[in-house]
Amino acid sequence: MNEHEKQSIDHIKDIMERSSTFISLSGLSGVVSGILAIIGVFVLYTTFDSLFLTEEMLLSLERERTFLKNLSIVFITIFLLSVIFAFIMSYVKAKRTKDSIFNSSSKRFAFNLFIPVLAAVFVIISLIQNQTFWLIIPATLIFYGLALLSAGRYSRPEILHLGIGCLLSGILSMYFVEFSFILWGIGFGILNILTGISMYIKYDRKVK
Amino acid sequence: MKDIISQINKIFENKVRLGIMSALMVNEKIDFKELKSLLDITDGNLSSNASVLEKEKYIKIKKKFVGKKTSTIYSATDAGKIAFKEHLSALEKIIRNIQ
Repeated sequence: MNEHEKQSIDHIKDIMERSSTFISLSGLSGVVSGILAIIGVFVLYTTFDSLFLTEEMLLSLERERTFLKNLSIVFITIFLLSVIFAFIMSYVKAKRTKDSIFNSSSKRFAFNLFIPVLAAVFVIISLIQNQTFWLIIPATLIFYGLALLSAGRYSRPEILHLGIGCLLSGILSMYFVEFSFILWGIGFGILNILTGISMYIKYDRKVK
Repeated sequence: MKDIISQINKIFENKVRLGIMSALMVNEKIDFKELKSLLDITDGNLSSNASVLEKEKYIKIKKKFVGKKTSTIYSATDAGKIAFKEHLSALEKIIRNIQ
């Protein structure tokens, strides 16, 4: 008797969760994008030969167009690779659990993530055109944080925590510009990896 | 105790109907295809149980034409939501009483 009611409640919870959350989002894809971001910081480090952003480095970006061009290519590649990995790995995970990656919660998640990211693209283009290079790192962190906060409602709570972490790193990097690279590495790199691992342990491992 | 058991809604005793209502409590509307894959049941099973809920006026069923295909959209009515909440609290009471 009691068992039957418990099963009903569990069934209700399961259906409610699966129908309102984008559960197929792969934790490991977060780890992959975190690693890619750290590679990005490494590229910055080797390009400028320093982990601390200085006035002089910003001026060198204005002088040498190839610098800017190469860095843009590197970071656009990192961004695209992260998106592609997230998609493929979530797709594989959904296949394994027999869920669909194209359900209403994943669409809501993608839409709410995409809008702030699209706004970020315009902001970054404008910052580059106006040679306000120091604001690019804070802008990417802040917009990524806001995007995760808006999309996180349709996925796991860990996404919201990651969003808050990136938002804070972004705000800090506006006031402590010399630590921009490190804060970028913490937000996009370390926090992404930690969130990915904790999501993998909590949700993905059980699936296997 | 007898009083609580009488609050259990017979309509929701069926697992598929319970699933349909649960999904519609957290989603304003869901289409046939998604509901079917969510509950992992056959077309016939979903349609027949959905029409039971519709007869009770717990859910609304709308058919739309998307090109040449029809698409069926489900949503919960206010009466359905209230009935489901009552059922849920009855379930919780039973579990708590026995423990």
